Amino acid sequence: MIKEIKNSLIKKEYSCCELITQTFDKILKEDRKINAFISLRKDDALKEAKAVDEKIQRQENLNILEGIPFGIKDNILVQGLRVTAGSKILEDYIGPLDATAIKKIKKEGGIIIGKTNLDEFAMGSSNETSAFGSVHNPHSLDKVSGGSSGGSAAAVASDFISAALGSDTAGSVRQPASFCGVVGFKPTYGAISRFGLIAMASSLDVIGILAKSVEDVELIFRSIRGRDEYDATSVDVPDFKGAIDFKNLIIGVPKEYFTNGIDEEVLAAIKKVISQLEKEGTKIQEINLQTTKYCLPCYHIIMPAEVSANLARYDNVRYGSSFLELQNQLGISSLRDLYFKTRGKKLGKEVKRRILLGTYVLSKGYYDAYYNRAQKVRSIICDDFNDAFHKVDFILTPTTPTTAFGFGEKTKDPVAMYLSDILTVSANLAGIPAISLPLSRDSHNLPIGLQLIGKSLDDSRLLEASKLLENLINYQ
Amino acid sequence: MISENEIKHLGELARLEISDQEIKDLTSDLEQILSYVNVLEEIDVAAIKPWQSNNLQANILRDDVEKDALVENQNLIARAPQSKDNYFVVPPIFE
Repeated sequence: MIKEIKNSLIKKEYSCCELITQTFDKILKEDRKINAFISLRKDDALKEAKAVDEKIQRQENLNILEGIPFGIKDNILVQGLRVTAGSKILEDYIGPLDATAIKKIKKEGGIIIGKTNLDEFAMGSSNETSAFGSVHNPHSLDKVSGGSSGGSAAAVASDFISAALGSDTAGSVRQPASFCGVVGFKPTYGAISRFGLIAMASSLDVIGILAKSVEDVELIFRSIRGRDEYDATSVDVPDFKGAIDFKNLIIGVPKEYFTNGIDEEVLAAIKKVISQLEKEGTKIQEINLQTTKYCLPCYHIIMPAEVSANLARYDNVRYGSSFLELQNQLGISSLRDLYFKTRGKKLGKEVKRRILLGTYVLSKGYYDAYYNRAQKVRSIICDDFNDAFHKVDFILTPTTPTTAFGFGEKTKDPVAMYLSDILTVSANLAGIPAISLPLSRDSHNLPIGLQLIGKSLDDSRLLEASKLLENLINYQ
Repeated sequence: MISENEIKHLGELARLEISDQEIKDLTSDLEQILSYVNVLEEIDVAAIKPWQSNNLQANILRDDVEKDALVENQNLIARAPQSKDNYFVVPPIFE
């Protein structure tokens, strides 16, 4: 964990150069079977490690994240590094700048090891749609890592890196965290600047954090959060200054999140921790979130609509391959050809599905029936959570209906894959913070995740409550 | 509910070339997804205002003062597939 690594570096139990060299050695040896990384940043990382060692020699104080190896989801820009969004259409694109979150990690001395694998343009729940191959679950290589931040989750779970950044639009940080047995945090919408995050659905996207402990997540969150002049939707999140204890917590359990379709072992694990909480004096209150069944359908109208707009820029004019070579391959002789053929050839199936669906729900004659209606439903979903948080401090649910599934198991029917997000998507629609904590393992040794949801801007208190839960759970 | 012709038309609007085989798959996929999202029809939305924002911030503006660009124009344009001087190069618009 971050504090332990910092202590070891200061005590010179090992040098930062040794740490980072070993990091790359391990990745080179073991990532072939996981496929967590798309690009690696060895030379610069080693230079930065050397600078950290020199700082330690001079007995200077270290910054909060100094020397800590990070993985960055490949839809977040790091200057000078290839950024692909998991897509062929950006396979040669080099990031011209650092995302704000990256600037902040660098400022605190974090060392970026490489860019992690993801579903193409963050569209997926299994990391099977990446143009750079699927990611394998470190706990069972024949199972998916989850997605879309599959590479980030698998890299942390494999101990390649201490922590990673991901993005979460319907659960893309929390679900792979749950599948891979690591902590995955989705902050309040706007808490972390989206400047430098390749946009998928702008009213839903957030940058999230994956790590081995809540304490690590919190350290990173404090370093990268905050109002940013380059992201007009960004907000400052207040610090929670009170005391938190099992006895002064009221935790809501929504029955709609415990219905059919949820694995028996997952239900049993969650029920067990609920009993444990009750023993500690926590008040458990059953609540109704009646809009639950409308969340995922609502999302699958609003999100594609935003996707169709956000991905219009991938026209091979500002980003893409040289069209001289395309001209020969695909027969491009006009601007129209350039758009149609490069987008047709270089965007994957899931991306095309969502662009077309978005185009449909925004088109004349369908806008009212679909997009407008979904926006109204989104209002009542937000109201539902607002009402709930008048009665309870936090809401506890399983993170996912099942543990990690096998490759190809859910790819035949798009809706089957979408249902993986059924318990996580609501937090994105409402813009509220949520975290997945590793809880236990099922009879196949696959991790089960617990989700804790908080109200808007209550991130700090949510993290405090999560630390309490983490101690109680004592996941090994 | 959704026809292959509609899929072709959507492809035109989205500037996406779709092969004949893809049209069949996409029609079936979108059919399934639209079926799934149609559950929203059971809600009476007449009196509900559309969602506007989670953070209730409106029109965040900055002062109209000249600032240095984060990235030089040339730096961005040079990353394009084809560029010349400070312009993007594209194939002819009209054939």
